[in-house]
Parts: sequence; C-alpha cells; structure tokens
Amino acid sequence: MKEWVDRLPGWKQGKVYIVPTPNGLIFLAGVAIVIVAGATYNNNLIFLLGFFLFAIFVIGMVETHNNLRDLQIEALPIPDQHAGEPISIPLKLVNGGYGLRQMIELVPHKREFRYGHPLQVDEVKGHQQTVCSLVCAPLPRGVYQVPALSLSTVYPLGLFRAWMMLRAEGEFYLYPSPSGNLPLRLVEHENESSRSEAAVGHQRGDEFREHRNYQTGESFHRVDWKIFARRRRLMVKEYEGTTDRSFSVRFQDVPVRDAEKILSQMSRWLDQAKERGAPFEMILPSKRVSFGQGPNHYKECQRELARFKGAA
Amino acid sequence: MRFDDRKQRLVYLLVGLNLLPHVMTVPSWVIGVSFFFLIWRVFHHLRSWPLPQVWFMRGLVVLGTVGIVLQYGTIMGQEAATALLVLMAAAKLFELRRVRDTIVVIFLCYLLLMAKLIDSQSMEMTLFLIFDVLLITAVLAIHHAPAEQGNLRYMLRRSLMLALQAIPLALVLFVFFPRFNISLWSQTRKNASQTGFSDRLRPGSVAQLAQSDQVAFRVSFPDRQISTVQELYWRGLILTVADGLDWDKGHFQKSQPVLERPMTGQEIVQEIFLEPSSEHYLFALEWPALVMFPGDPNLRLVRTSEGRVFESKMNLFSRQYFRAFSNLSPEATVWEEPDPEIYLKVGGMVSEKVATIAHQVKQGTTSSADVADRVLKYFVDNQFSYTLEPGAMSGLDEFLLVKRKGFCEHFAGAAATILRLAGVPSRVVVGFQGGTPSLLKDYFLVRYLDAHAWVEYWDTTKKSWNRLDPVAVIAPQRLALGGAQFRELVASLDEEGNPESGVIGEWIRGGMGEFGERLKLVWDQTESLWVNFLLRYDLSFQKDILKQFGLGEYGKWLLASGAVVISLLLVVVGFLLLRKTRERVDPVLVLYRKLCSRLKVAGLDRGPSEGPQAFWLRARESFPDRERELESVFAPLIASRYGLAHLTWKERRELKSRIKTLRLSRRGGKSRSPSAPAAPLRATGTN
Repeated sequence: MKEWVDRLPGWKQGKVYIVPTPNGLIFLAGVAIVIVAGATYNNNLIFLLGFFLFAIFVIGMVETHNNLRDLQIEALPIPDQHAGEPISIPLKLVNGGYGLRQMIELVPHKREFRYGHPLQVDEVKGHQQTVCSLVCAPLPRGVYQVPALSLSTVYPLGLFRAWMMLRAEGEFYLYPSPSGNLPLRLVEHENESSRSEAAVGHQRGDEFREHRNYQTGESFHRVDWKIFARRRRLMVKEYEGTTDRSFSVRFQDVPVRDAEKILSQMSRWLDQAKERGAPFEMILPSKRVSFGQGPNHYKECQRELARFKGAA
Repeated sequence: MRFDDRKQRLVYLLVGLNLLPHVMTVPSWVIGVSFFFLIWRVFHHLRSWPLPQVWFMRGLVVLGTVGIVLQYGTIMGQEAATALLVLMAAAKLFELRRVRDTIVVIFLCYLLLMAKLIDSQSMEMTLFLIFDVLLITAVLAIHHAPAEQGNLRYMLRRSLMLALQAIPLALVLFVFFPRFNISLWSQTRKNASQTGFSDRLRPGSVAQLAQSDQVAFRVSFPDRQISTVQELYWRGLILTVADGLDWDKGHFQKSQPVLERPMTGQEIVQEIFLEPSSEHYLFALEWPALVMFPGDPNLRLVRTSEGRVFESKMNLFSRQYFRAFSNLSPEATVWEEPDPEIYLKVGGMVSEKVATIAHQVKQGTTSSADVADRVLKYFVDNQFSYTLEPGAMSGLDEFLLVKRKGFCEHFAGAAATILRLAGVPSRVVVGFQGGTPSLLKDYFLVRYLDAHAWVEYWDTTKKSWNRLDPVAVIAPQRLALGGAQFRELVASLDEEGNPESGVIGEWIRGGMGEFGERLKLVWDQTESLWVNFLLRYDLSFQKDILKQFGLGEYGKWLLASGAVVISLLLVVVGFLLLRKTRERVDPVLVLYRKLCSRLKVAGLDRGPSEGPQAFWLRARESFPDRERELESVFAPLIASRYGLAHLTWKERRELKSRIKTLRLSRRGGKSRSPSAPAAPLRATGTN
C-alpha cells in the first residue's frame, strides 16, 4: 500500500491521509453481515450490535487520524559516515499536541532510503518529545538532505492506516568508502620535495615513541618483526621525528581511471594520515586543501571528497 | 503489531467465552470438536504440543462441514450457519501464522456473538452483549498497542472510552436506519426445543407443561384497566377429535386467510409480546375477532381456522409482537352451525358406565345450556377434586369412576366427551387462563404455569359456542388467583388441605415464596421494558415518529437519507470536537499574563526571555511609587507558579481584583518623565 501512496501526486507535507487497512475492510464486511442479519431476522439487538460496530469503525478512523496530529520531526546533528554502511539518522519526534500519540511507524518516504523494518515509536506524551534513530539503506558517497519521512499509524484498532509526510531540516555527509592499498605519500617539510615513505625508514637520532597497529598499505619496512615473531601481530614502530613529517594525499597519485576508486583510495589515505597524527594536505584536480591537522581538518578533506564532482 | 504470548492467550480466552453461549443450541458434536480444537491449541501454546498437519486439519473441516450439511440438510439455514461458524472459528485457531490471522479470529468472535443474538434477546443476553463487545474490542486494541501497555485493564478502559464515543452515533443509526424486511437466507429451523403446546391433548400433558414457570407471553391492554384475572382466557388451539381423554386437533380444521372485519369499537385491544416458541399459535383473549402483526397491515402473515383461533404463517422462534382485538361475548361472532359428523363423534370404545353417566346427564334437560350445567353438577355431586399432580391415568373410566381427581385437561376432556355422548356438540380449547400482573401493573405476565384447557359447547338457542370450564366449580381459586398464585397456595397447604401447622414455618415458606416471586417480577418488569422496546421498534414505529413531525409520506427513504446525513454530521462534529485541544492552562499563568498586559499598557514590555523575577525588578524601577502594590501581586504569583505556595480559589480572585485595580502611570514613549507620576492616582485600591 505504501508503494501506491508513493505514487500519489498531491503529497503535501504534514497533511494526514487515511485509508482503511485490509483488516478494516474485513471488519466492515463483518459489520455488513451483522446488519443484514439484523434486517433478515428483524432483530433489533443485532441491529444495535451492527450499528455499534460501525460506530466503532468510524471512531477508530477519527482516533487513528488524530494519532498523527501535531507531530513534528527534527533532525539531530548527524555524524559524518563512510558510504557503504546503513546510515543511522538520529531524530527527535515532537508531539506538539495535547494527547498521547502511540505506535507511530517512521520510514523514509523514498523507497531507496528504506532499510529493514520501519522504526516504531511506542508513544510520545503530550507536549513532549522522544529521540529515536532511523536506519537508512547504504548509499553512495555524497551530501544528502535528511530524507523526507513517512509517519504512519494504525493505532488504536488497526482498522485504518493514517500517514503523513514530514521533512526535517539537516544534511549529512557520506565519505567515500575507504579501499585500495597504495602507500601513503610522505612529504618533507623543508624542501617540500617528496619521497616515498618506504625509502625513508627511520633516521638516526629519532626517539622511539610507541608501537602501533599496522595498517593496510603501509610499508613493511617499518614493521617491528620482533614483535611479530613474539605476538604474531603486525606492529609498526613510531618515532618522535616522524611527526615532523607530513603526508600528501593527491588525486593524481592513484593510477586508476575510475574516479570513485581514486576517491576511495584517497579516503583511506586520509584515514591513515589521521591515525598517524601527522599534518597532511589533499590535492584534488579542482581543489587543494593545504596542510593541516586534527579532526576538523580531516573532516574538511573528507567532505571535499564527498562533494567531489567529476574527474578532471 | 507483533506476536506476543500474553496477547495470544487472551485470544484463546475470547474464543472460549464466545463458544460458551452456543453450547446448548449447537449440536453437541460440533461444540465438542470446537472445544477440542481450542484445548489442543492452548496446550500447543503452553506445553508445545505439536499442531496437526495442514491436510489433516483441512480434512477435519471438510468432514465437519459435511456433517453439518447431513444434520440440517442445508448450509444456508441459520442454525447450520451458526454451527459452521462455531466450527470454523475453532479451526482457525490452528492457523495463526500471521498477525492478520489472529485479527480475523477476533472478528469471528463478533460474528459468534451475533449468531447467538438471533436466538436470544433477553436481558441476560443484552448484558452479556455489552460485556462481550467491550472485551472483544479491548483484545483487538491490545493487538495494536505498545507491548508494555498490553494489560487488559488498561485496554478495557480504552475500549470503554471508544465505546462511549461510539454510542451516540450507534444510537442515531439505530433510530433512523430503516427496518427493511429482507430475507436473504431461509429461516428454517429443525430442532427447536422450546416449551410449547402440541396438536394433541393427552392426560397429563398440560399438567406437565404447567410445571414450567417459563414466560409464554406478556400482554398489555392499551385501552383499559383489567383488575381481575378470572376472565382472562387466552385461546390458543381447538381440539375436535375425541378418543376418551385423548383429544386431537384433527385434519378437519382448514386454515383460511384472515379477513378484516368491521370493528364495533367495543373490542378489547391487547398488545402481546410472544416469547420464542416452536409452534405457530397466536394466543388472544376470548373471543378474538382479529389478530395482526404491526408490520403486516394486509394480514398476510396470519391465518385462522375453525373456532376462531389464529396462527402465524411464519416461525415464531424469535420474539414476536402482535395486536389482538377481542369481543367480550361469543355472540358478537357469527358462528357456523357445527357439523355433527365432527362435533358429536366420540372415537374408541366408550364403556357402558360412561354412557350411563351421559344418559343421566341428558335426562330431563331442555337446552344444551342445561346439559352443560348438569355436567358441572355431576362433577360437584360426585366430589371430584382438582390436583396439580394427577399422576398417570389410563382413560376416561379411571378418571370418572375411580380417581375422581385430575388437572384441568382431565375435566375438560371428560366434560366434552360426556356432552358429545349427550348429543351436545362440543370441543376442547387449549390455552392459558389468568396471568400475573406486573410490578407496575402495566402488563400481565402469562407463564406456562397458567396453561389451561376448557370446553366449548354449542348453544342451540343462542346459535353460538359457549365456554364451559369445569375447574370453575371444582377449584374456583385456580381461576381467581391464576396459575402462579394458586400453585403457591397449594404449596402452603399440606396434602389434607389444611394450613401448615407451624405458623412460623408457614410464614417462612409463604414469605420466601412471595419474596422470590417479587424478585422474579422485578426482573421481569425490567426485561419486559427492554424486550418490548426492542420488539416494538420497527418500520411502522419509525414512521409513527416521522408522522408526528408531519413527515409521514416520505417513509423509509427519508429515514435512510436522514441516517446518512446525521451520521456524516456526527462524524464531522466528532472530528471538530476531538481536534480541539483541551489544554488546561494554569490559572496562575493566566493571571500573570494579565498582569503583563497591564504593565504593557503602562509602557513596560516584558522581554521574550525575561523571567517574572527580573520583570518585577524592572517594574519596581519604572514605578518606584508603586513598589508595595507590585509586590502584593508579583510575590504571590511567583510563589505559586514555582510551587512555593498554593493559591486557593479565593486568593486567586483577590489577586485578580488587585491586578485589575493596579494603577500605573502611563509612560510616554521611551522617555520617562518624572513629573508625570500623577498625584491624583495616589489612592490605589488594594483592598
């Protein structure tokens, strides 16, 4: 039925629509049987039952309709995520009305956003709100508006389904999903001449700082093989001096045609660079994000990747 | 909507509850199988018993359906359909795979309830109906409620709320929905097991019937007050074929359509509410002139037969309401001369002694009325007595010559036979005599206790049939008191006919009996009000209502469109009413707003985020000369609003008047002119 609803032309935000459910139609058929039986046997008690059931049907319609009234949704800040995984959107369901609202189902209006079972909110009290988290289907990288949601309910008797479309303000970024195992490019600060990181190794005088987990795509030269022999784990030695170095994440460094694959590799590089805690720059064909450090810098670069349109 | 253990159990309970009323009416094997299904399902639920295979279940259902068809010969009749419904509702329990299946079972419960209402519309059934509908609706609601609110009490309350909203609409539809009489399915019924008269009279058959205090009908007299039950003879059927004490209806009586006769205006009008029965007799006061159903002005549904008794052409297995018009005396009816072939014939062997009695009775009489008197005299002279427990009796001889003790049917049968042997045409009438006045004296309750049989003989001089009731001379109390009270009287007497020796014992017995009888009457009064309303409310009643508004001609179509329009209106009104948010505003907040608006008029506007405390400070600065008055309003408001103090209704009123009388000088624009605070406003009213 929802599919049919999607094709309705005059979809207005916040307007409540209502139709009987299949169960409601069965109920109505039952009511018809009761009233016909009342007429056949000239039995006023059966008439009374029939009319009462019909009245229940009508009141059920009113109640179901009212169960959606004055509802609003607000999107809470949505953390940026990598593409390729189900997206969880935190929402606030606000009941601006007086009465209790119960058994509300939320589902993205567009079918490509839907994932798994509809989100069900058991109840929102009058003039109160509840926080819930809607799970959307995995989507390709990009910047998205919070999808329009379809709120529906069959409360209290399941005889009618009322629904309405609501849109919440807000957007979220999906970074390219990280993949590829090319090595990250190391840059010397002083002369900005770049070398392969693999060739650098560690220089004399650098203080050993810590071990950290090996990441795919890193040079094996830096792996501490003693630890591997002892613990069967790939660990990388980290030196004080390394932090003085920085990385460059460059579009042209990835020798692939497919722009999405390039972006995925760049996304991985960004993750690695962030992990190392070193400053890094990012160069896209049309855009350059100069050296920087920290979560905000990382976010800026990743968002550029998410926004990226068309290879040069 | 999700499967839930507790919710599921409620459904089993519901099905069990709705199968129960059918236990007595549906064939026992159907009920047995249905409960077996139910119990199996419950044990599957509780003890994980395996469920039957699908093919097995389908086979069982097909077998059951065939069984029902074999039993009733059809599947379309009401009883067959009910039996099938019972079976299907129970079988559906094995098919609860999706939530929808459960919902369908709940809907089936509504239909099970409806099927029971066809049989019974009593008060008990009405009470059960109300309870059951609420319960079914509650269970339906539980299946659509949040899991943590799935408790039955909460849902019963919710379904009660739903019901309260639904009742006005239901009542409007009930009043205005036209009562078309349609017959979509046949109304045959095979094994009705109601109490009732049969077409024959055997010694002891009426006595047995009179053991039951089941209600036969209720009757009210819209035109006149009836104070004595002595003359209330309710004519039911006439028996013409005699064989000793056995009397049969015979095949001579031809049914004929009822023709409307001109009324004299002297007839006693009766409104009779007949309880369900397996027979067709329409009882009416002697001597009936016309009987009609209110919805049947052309008398298509009634027929009459010789002896002016009336029958219904339709089954009377549901309650019926009809009107009867009766004349006070038999002479008002034009009678045909009785056929001696029929009315003088006595079948079987008549013993010498009985023939002698008839001969004695006839000797020296000049008219048939004389013969009748002599028959009564014979009973009195030979010390016949009346008994409620006549016991088995082989025939006329045993009654007349040995026992001399009997119930009304023995006397009637014997008297009619003697009359025939003496050459007077006679017949036996079966019906009721008497009745119990209701608590409010607005109707008479006629029960099978009042069953009676009497004799009619042909009066040759008057050319009419006359009543002859031997009980009138044998046990006149029976006629004066009616069946119920007479029975009580007999119960309070011991077998010798003397009052019970112990006074207290008698008092207890009599008192309890009276109290029980009174209770019965109270119950019956309420039930009759309800039943009468349910029965009377039909198309003609609706038309009467319309007629009172001068809209009679448009009839049912007006009713139908009226029902539609009014229900639509109700829906709209309901929408509007429910839309309105019934928000309860704190009265203190209202006062505070009022204060703010007064200050605004005075030129001091409250900032959007300014709290009352800050606003008060600012107000004090702006109106330094009003510090005391401002405190007298601000302080209690703040204290009350923030829960530090509670204002009573009186204090609030006081506060309101203080705000009203608060005199604040208007500040001109933004500039504050110190000269403006006016001296004449000095006298502020804080009372």
